[in-house]
Amino acid sequence: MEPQGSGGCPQEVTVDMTTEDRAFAALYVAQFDPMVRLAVLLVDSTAAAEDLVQDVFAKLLERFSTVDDPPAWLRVAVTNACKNERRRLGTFRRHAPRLADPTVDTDRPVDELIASLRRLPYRQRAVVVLRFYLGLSEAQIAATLDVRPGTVKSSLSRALARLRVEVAP
Amino acid sequence: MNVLTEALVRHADMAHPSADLPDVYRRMHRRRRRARGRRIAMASAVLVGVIGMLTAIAMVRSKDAAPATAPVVPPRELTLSDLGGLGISIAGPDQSYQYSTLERADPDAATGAYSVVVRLNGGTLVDGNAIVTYPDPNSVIAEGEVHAREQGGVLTLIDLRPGGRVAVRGIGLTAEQVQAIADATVIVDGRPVVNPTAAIASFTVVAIGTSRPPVIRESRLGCDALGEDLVLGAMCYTGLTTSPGFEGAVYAAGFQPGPLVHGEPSVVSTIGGGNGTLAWELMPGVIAYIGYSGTNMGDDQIAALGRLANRASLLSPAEWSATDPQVVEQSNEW
Repeated sequence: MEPQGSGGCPQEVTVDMTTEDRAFAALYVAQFDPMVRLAVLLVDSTAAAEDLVQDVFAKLLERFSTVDDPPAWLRVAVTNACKNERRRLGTFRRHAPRLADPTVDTDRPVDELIASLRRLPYRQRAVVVLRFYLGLSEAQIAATLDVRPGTVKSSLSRALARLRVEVAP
Repeated sequence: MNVLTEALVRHADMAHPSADLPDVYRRMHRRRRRARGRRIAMASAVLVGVIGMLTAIAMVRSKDAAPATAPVVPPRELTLSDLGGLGISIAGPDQSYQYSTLERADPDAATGAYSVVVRLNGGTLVDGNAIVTYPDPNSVIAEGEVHAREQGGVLTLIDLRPGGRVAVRGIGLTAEQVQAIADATVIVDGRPVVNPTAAIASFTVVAIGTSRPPVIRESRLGCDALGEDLVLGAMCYTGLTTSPGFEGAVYAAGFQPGPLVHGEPSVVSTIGGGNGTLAWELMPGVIAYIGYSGTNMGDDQIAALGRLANRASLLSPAEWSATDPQVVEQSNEW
C-alpha cells in the first residue's frame, strides 16, 4: 500500500547495470538519505526535500562520467536546489489563494532552535547547516555556496548571534 | 556534541528516517519530473475536492438506504476511473500542499484472487459485513477440511473448492450467516460469485473486484507539514483504491475500530507497511486510508490519524493528473 517507508508493498527490483551504473547506484545508496536530510534542514518539507534530491540525482546521472567529486557536486547541487525551492515557495505563498481550514492548528511547536534556524536568511541558514550538520570547514562551505571564505565567516557569526538572541532564556 | 548539531541531527533524522530503496530506484529509472505548477493546481483543486467528498458521502448514504429486499446481484467492478479518478490531499497548517504522488498499478491483479463484499442491509465496514475471497492466499488448511474460527470479532470460515480455498470473513455476523454466505458462494470462471439465496435475503453484494488493487493512488507528506509530527513522527501517506481485497486483508490481519471519518466508521490496522493505517470507505468498495511511519501506534497516534482523515478531501481526475504522479508497476499485495 503505501510508501514503504511510507508504508507499502514489497517490490522486486531488477536493474541491468553497467559498471558506471553500479558506481552511480552505490553513490545513490550512500548519499540519498544524507542529502535528503540536508535538504530537509534547508527547505522544511520532507516531501519537497525528497523530490528535489531526486531531481538532483537525475541531473547527476546525466553527467556522472564528467563529475570529478560526486559527493561534493551533490552538496552544491542540493544546496542550490534548496535555495531555488525556497524562492519558488515564497512566490507561491504570496500568490496562491488562501484556503484556510479553521480546524488546522497553525501554531504547532517545533524545536526552538530549528524554529529560529528557519527564520534565518537562506545564506546564513545554509552556512549553519553546512557547518554544524555536515561539519564542513569554512573553505568547503565557501566552495559549496560559491562565496568567499570571509563571507562564510561573517554569515556564520551573524547567524549564531541571532540564534543566541532568539533561543536565550 | 554541540547543542546546535544535536538539534539539527535530531530534526533531520526525524524528518527522514530512511528511504525505501526499491522505490527510489524505480523513481530513479523513471526519472519523471514533477510539473512545476503542480502545487498551485493542488491548492486550487481543494474546493472541487470538497464537493466531490460531499457527493461520495451522499452516495454512501443512498446505498445504506437500500431496501431490505435488495437482490444479491453483483455490481460490475468499480475502478478509480469510474469514480472520476479520485485522489486525496491534505491541507497543512501553512495551507500549502507539498507532497509527492504515486500511482501503483498492478496490471496482473486480475490473475490473482478475487473478493466480494457482502453486506447486511444497513451494515458498515465494521459491522454486518463479510468478505468472500477466492482463492484465499491466507488459507492454510488440508484438503477436505473445513475450518472456522473467531478472532478479534471476525468470524472466518474457510472452505476448500476446486482450484483453491474460499474464505469468508465476517464481522458483526452470526456463524450461521457466515456459513450461509459460504453456501451461497460458487466459483464461476475462477471467480467467486455469491448467489442470491433465501438464507441471505437480507444481504447485498456491495462490491466485487480483484483482491490485489489494480491501482492505488498515494500521496506522501511530511507529518511536520501536517502539524502531527510530534505524535506520528516523520512520514504520513494517504491512499485511495477500489479493491475489496483491502477489507479482507484487514479482517485477516486483525484491526481495531477507529474514529469516525466524515461520519463513517473506520478501521485501524498495521497492514500495508508503516506503523499504522486508518482506513474508511468513501463508498462500498472504495477505500481511503491514511498511514504513517514513525512512532509506535497507540491511542494518540490513532486520534491523530483520525484528525488527518477528517481533513482529507478528494481530487478530480484532472486534479490528480495535475499532480503528475509517478507511475510504478508492481504487485499490490496488502
